[in-house]
Amino acid sequence: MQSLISSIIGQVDQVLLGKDQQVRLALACLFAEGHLLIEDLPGMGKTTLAHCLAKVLGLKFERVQFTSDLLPADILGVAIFEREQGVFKFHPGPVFTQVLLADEINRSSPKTQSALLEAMEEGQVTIEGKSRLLPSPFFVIATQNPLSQSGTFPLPESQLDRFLMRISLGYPSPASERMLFEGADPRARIRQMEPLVTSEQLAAIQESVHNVKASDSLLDYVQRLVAFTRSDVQFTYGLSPRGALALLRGAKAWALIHNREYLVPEDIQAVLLAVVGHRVRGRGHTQDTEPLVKHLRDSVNVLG
Amino acid sequence: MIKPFWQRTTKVTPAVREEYLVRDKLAWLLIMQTVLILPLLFNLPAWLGLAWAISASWRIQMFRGRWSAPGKVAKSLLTAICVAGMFASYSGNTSTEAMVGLLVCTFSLKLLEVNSTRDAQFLIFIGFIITASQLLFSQTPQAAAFCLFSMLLLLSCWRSLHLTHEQSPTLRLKRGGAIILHALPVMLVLFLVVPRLGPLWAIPNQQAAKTGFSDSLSPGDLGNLALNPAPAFRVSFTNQTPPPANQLYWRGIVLDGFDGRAWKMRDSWGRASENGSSIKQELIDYSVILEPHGQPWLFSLMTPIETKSATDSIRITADSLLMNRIPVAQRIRYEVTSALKQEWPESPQLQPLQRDGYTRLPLTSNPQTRALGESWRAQQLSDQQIIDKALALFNREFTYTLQPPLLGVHSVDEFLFQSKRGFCEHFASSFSFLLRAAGIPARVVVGYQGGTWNPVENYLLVRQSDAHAWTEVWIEGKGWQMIDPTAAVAPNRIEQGMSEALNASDLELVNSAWQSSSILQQLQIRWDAANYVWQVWVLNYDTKTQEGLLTRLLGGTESWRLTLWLIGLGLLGAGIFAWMLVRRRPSLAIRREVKAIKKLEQKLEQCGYRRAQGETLGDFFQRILVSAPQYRATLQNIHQLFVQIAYQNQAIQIERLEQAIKQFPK
Repeated sequence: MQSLISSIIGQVDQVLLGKDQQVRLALACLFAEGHLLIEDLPGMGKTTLAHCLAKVLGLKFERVQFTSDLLPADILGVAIFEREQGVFKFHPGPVFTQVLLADEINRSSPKTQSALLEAMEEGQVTIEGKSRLLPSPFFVIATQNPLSQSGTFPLPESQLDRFLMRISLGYPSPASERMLFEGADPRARIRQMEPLVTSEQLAAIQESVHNVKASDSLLDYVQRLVAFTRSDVQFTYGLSPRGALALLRGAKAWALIHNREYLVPEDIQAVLLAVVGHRVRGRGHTQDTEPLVKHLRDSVNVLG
Repeated sequence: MIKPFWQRTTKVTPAVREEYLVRDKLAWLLIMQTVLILPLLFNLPAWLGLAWAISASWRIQMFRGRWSAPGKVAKSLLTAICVAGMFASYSGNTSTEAMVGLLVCTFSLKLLEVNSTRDAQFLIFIGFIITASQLLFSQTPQAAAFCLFSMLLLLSCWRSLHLTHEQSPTLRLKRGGAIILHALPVMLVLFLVVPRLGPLWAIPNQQAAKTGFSDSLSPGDLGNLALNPAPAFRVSFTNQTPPPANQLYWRGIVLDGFDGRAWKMRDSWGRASENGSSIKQELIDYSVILEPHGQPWLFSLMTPIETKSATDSIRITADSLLMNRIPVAQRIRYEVTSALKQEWPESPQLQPLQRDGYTRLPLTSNPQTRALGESWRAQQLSDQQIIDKALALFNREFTYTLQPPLLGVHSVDEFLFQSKRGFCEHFASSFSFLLRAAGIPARVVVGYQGGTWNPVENYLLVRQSDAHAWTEVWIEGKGWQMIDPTAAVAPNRIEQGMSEALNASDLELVNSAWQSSSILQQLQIRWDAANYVWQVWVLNYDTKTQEGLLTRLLGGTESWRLTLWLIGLGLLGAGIFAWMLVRRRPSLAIRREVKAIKKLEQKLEQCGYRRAQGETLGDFFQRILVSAPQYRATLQNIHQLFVQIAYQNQAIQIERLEQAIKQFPK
């Protein structure tokens, strides 16, 4: 299983040059059965990452560009009257896939955003009173543009909470950008890629995330972190139990990627920003919570 | 389609659920009532069950909105009917049954008035009294277990009344069970410690069904009992071992009158005049726990000298029998001292009137046997010779069987001269008749013979099937002597129990009734032993046993000692609870490996390295190694040990980590 994981990482790294940290986080998120929110400018490789992951893992991929006039039916699907047969026939929308890239999710109205909610949380959608199961695994990669906020509907906290991790890709280093220029078109590369795992193998990996052990010492550390967010003055509100669970889950997947069957504090710290960043808010109500999470990491004693 | 009402689910808000009797609460109440009332119905008139069924179905119809709640008139009418019913059933007697019946009436009718949670609570309180009243009728371990089950239902039901949300029935039962489990230790301590006051009131007029044999003996009476494996009584001997089987004759009643067909109890002819007292030998002490048989007689070995019981109601009659003042309606326990042997320094004498009574026979009955007896007497044989002759006759020509042929008017004649097949009562009856015909005073004794030794708890179990009849003969100079004519025919019956003495077809008859397999038999022995322990330790737990137990456990029964022990036990319980609380949150204590690392940090601080709060040990060491690469091996070793202990939960001796840190910076 370990060689499988490292070969997946290797494949994706070849397309997304110089982003190994982000690639690992995205994979950890997928292995932990969580959804991923990428906050970045256009053209930074969000789609490439999503597409690449889907291809390597042999998953079905769909992409929806969210706009302010997008309606729930555009994502979920709609029943259309078939004149010849005289019945309504359901035409599934793009949500019936395995990897869904929801581009610029904050551009659409809250109504449409919430249509995704059931899909993300329950793995099913309800259309016209009938629940339809989504394919498994179901993995949403949503992106949003952090800079231009005019005409957007920022995701509320409850909705942000559904995403296991929030990452940003950022500019590539000059060296890797050079390699990108020199190499072939990433899209062509993705087209050539072959799936590396079967769905059973993917399920097995997701299963083994649960088997990663968290010792009492480590749980103490997590509890100290959570308690700090709830008591420190710099936080408007603290981390919820679901947030704490997400932290553990993400860290376990991280540990698995790094070939360990047990958690160490380094795992927690590695995923801390990605998991906690969008779940807390500082006193100043600033969008950027990175300094806050850093404050959290630096203030809580690792050893107790 | 409308679902039946018990399947319909409606969402109820917590406030409504708290106040009103919603569906699941009513269902729990009904189930609870059914279970509580059910065992009582065996002892109460059947119409009470009907009354309960009517009020339950009325309540269900009320819940469905089909019927309206009973008005004042209907309620008064129902009450009047029930009271009248109780009067009719018990004709005004205030017996236990009548009182419990009234309670059940209340319990049933109250259901019609229960509308809110508060009303239902009242029903629960009555339920507790009902549960207690179950024990008035039966005190077996099964009854106690059922009582506990009733309590479980009651508590779960009570808790359900105050639930503000749905909960699965299993969870409700679990929570109710948890309450019982919490209460059990307290119950046990109270049972052991609270002073035993003895019965505060007597239970009046309790009737027990008559079991066992009756006060007359006609052919075929005991044969029916032979198929009944129910226990008659249990005996434990002070010296732990029973006398040999041929001495285990448990005397119940003496039958001294013969009316041509049956032997009957008459007025006693009075004690044989004893010239001085006899010398009692081979004294044996034993205690008997007798199942209720509805008769006043008790059982003892010949000859009882002394007896004791909790109620002091037992006397020893002139015939050396034990009699209770009232019929035995509850299990009782009594202690007896018997002399297995007695010798007379001077010959005891029968008064002429007594001699006449013990040799009296109806004039016209059984002429053949009479003639035989008189012919023996005419031959000038001695008493002993006649007895030997009669026993020899039985030994020669007779068969012991459970299925004797039916006998006509002259039953002794037909048995002695035609059928020659019989059960113990045939032998005892005809033997006594024969001796009386020969002018020798004789009487029939009915009781039990033998018993099964239970090696688990060391007691003798005597079953109804051990019922037996034998003869006592007056022998000049020796007084009444026991002679068992059955022993002459089938000695195995006496030595090894009945099943040894029977032929194949008889055995089949017996086996179908009990003794099916050895495993079952083993289980039976165990179960009986459990019953016996229950009787000895729970039902017979009185002031004396309590004192003995407390003295043995605590070293005395003074009140200061009890108080100290109770406080001590309470503190112990609180201590255990506190310990469990601390254990449940291990994070409260600083871990040993962290303590060790803190020591290391102190040492490193002297070298100028200080770990930041959020810095992991690995990062910290990495930082140190940049400027002090000489520590590489030591720090890597410490780090590895720490990770293994703290995060991998590996069973590595923490001393190794402490040792490595102690030796640092070497």
